Amino acid sequence: MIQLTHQTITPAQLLAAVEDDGSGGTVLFLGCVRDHSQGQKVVALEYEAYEPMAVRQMESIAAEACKRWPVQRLAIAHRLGYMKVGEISVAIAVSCAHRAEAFEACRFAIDTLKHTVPIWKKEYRPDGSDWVEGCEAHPIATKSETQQKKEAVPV
Amino acid sequence: MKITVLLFASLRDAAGTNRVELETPSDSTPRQIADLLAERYSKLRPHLKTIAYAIDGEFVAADLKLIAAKELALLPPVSGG
Repeated sequence: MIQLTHQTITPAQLLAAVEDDGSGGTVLFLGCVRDHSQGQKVVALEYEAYEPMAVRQMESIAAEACKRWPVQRLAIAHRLGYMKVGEISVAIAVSCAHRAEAFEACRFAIDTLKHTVPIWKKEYRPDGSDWVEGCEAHPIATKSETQQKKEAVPV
Repeated sequence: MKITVLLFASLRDAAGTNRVELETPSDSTPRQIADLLAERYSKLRPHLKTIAYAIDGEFVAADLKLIAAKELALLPPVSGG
């Protein structure tokens, strides 16, 4: 399940999407709207996406995670639009046979999402609002590319 | 080559529009197109150093020569999650 949505994200929906009889460990990550950023009060966030590309990038993350770890199922949901403090902006669930891979694959998925998926947030503070400029966007480094780079380094 | 340039987030705010139709030479690169756009919308200029480019939803290099591309997206640094 890969989803961009304007509706409230329900963790139970993601957990249901990764249910699998072969999985002994399921990890759920929730990203929530925090009430502060860099020492300033935050009252809300607004997210927008280049939607068709964002969905494709999230699918690529899922595919890459499944290549790197023995993932049974993986689900990613990202919410768009205006959200108040405490609301869930992103959720990732991963089920694997064993917990270690589930933790690693989930960590990879959220870390990679923050660099490769064309989504932007605007922070609303009591005194105004600004777009947050995070990471310069770049495509996913696939495992084979990473290995090639390592191999290319002279010893 | 007629191309539609898509602008998001801070870039849209800087230009005051989310899409611009441009006529460019057929072997233009994404960087050249962004430069051309910044001549029309000068507030885009300070953003150009940190943008990434996508053609029809896939990342492309700034110096790729575009042949018959329909849609170029200029992507400011991303902040999802």
